[in-house]
Amino acid sequence: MASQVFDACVVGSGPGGGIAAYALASAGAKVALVEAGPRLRPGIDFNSHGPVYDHLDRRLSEGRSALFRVTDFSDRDHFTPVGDRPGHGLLRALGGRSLCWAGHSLRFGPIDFRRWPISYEEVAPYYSRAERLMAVYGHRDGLLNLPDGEFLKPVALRCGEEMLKRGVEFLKTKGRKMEFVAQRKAMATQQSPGRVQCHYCGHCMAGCEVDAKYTSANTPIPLAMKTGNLTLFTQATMTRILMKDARHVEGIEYTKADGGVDAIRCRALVLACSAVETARQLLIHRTRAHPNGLANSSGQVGRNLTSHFGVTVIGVFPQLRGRDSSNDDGTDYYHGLLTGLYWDKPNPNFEGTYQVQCGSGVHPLGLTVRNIAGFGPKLKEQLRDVNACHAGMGMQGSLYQSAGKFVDLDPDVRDRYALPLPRVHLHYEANDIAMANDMVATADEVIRAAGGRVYSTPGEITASKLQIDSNHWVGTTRMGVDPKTSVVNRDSQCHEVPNLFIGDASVFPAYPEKNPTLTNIALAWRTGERLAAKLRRGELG
Amino acid sequence: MATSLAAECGICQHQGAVQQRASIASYKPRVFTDGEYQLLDLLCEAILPADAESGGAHDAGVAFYLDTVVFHSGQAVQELWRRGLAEIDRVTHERFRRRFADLDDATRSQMLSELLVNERSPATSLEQFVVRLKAATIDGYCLSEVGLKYFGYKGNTTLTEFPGCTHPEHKAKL
Repeated sequence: MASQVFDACVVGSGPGGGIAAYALASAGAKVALVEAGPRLRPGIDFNSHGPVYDHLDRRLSEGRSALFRVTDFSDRDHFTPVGDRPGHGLLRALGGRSLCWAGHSLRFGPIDFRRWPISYEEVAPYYSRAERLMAVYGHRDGLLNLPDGEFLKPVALRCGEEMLKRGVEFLKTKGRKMEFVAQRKAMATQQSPGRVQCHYCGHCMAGCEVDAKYTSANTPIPLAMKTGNLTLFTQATMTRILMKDARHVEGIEYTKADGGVDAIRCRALVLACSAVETARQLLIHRTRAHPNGLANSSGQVGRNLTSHFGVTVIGVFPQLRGRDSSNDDGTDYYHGLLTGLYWDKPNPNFEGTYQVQCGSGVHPLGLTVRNIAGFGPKLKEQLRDVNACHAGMGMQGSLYQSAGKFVDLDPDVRDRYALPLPRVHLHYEANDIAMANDMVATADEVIRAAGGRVYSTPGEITASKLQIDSNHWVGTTRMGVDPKTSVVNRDSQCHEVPNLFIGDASVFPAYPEKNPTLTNIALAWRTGERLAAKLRRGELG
Repeated sequence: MATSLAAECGICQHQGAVQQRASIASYKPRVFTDGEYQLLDLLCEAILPADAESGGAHDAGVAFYLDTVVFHSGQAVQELWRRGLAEIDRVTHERFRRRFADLDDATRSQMLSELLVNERSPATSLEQFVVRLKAATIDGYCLSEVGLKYFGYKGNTTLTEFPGCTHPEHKAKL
């Protein structure tokens, strides 16, 4: 083992890990950042701008997709799904899924934090700092439970989204409680240090070629490297957690691309592998002192799993027929957000709530409406017409947390390092179905109020119609004050292993309808700073 | 940097388009025989035909796209496509005593209509293949230069400002 002892070792360079490493390095700590995947080069390893047919053969022969997306590098065959078709998104590369995320950056609200052991007021300063670092754009809307932030100028709604907005405004005059607002995303719509200004090509999720979109790889990690306190280990897969004794981590063992094995020693370890993977790592690292997995005498590691889920309803608006073609790219599909549903007055039929991401426009490279009957001139005309006149409404509901939804280890299947794969158990319940039925009814109302008609809808909901968001899992090492019912404390520090911290969204004890990443980043920043302070005070040895 | 990227993109697009048209015209299929490739091209064109306004699947080079994608998709997929095309020719011959390529336009439409009659719930392997062929034709058309032009696609370029909806009547109160 190398003789250097880092102050902190952060495993995982996604949204949480990247910012935790930055916070620690900025505070003067010597940090090792360990990432299983390689560094990818925008424009070379992923490029969404070239004409597709021109590059087709070369891209396909390299095993890549025709559109040469960064998600070509996503993991496959890396987990076992159980039940209602759970997915598990993972991208092992420097930056993780901040490379392919859509950038949606929403603060959780004061009502959401009621079920947390920390308050909105404690997290708010970190939200502000995160929004400024990430260059988040948005409009200040003054809503009850979606706080405004430090915003760059927002991005305009398209025609289809304006239709939905009119429907919502009309329903509000009839007493319905809902709001239609512009999205808030981490793209530099104005000059921002270290970033190129967005040129609205709409290929955000294919990988931002110019680094207008915030990723861990283009912002916090380079800044951390500038401090001189960060040592980066890429293509380094953690394969063991090394313990000094039952309550102290000593370091990690990792396997390199050439198969060689080495180790990193550290005073503190931060796991930021994302909810499914972090839980998996803790469960794998069973020892005599930790028979249920590391830091798991509560039995809560892998439990309290939740994500977002939903269905899509599409409307078409005759008012848009024959409109001049326009550049609809923007910042990828969803420019609008239907929200404000059941915040202060919960729906009697289900717990929790949902929001609806709204998009529209003609995006031939990823055409929204393709499932049109028939063939010939009518099919051709309808493909163009329906897509020009449509608006899509994608539900994001908070999945009901229960004993039936959890992560454990597959007893039979192992990865190439002989480590058990994670198993993700998902079974939709009555609450989930009731919530989705409400969304379908609400979407129907909004579309019709705007003078449109519903083009496609799932209708009466059954579990088989629901779609999970494979990238929004949270909750598997939940935060709490009681070590008997939680894994980490208010500083995301493991109750049982004081020099082990969690720097990703595994710690969320409850989940609202809002996208997780801004909160993940705010918390990981806070965790990094609090860890740095503990190291300075010598609390962790 | 965004400005020079714009210039780069502009030049790249233009050169790419010229190369693409040349290579599609002279393309020799790698999976399909000449007869299968011709059938594929005719089927795609029947699904998304040329009209007064724009080219269809043939002009777009969708057959080139499909042969290339299938070529890179492994043996099982290649066999599935070749079997599917052979089956289409077989049932066409049973129905009309001719190969698909030898039918007139109206009869080709009739045949395709019968092949797609259960497209909402395809049961047989032939019905499933035809649905797959139709979906792949749409995909290929959307990614082509001809298709992008048909959709009036003004995107995949650089803007300093995103205009969004520019129609005051879309924002008026109901």
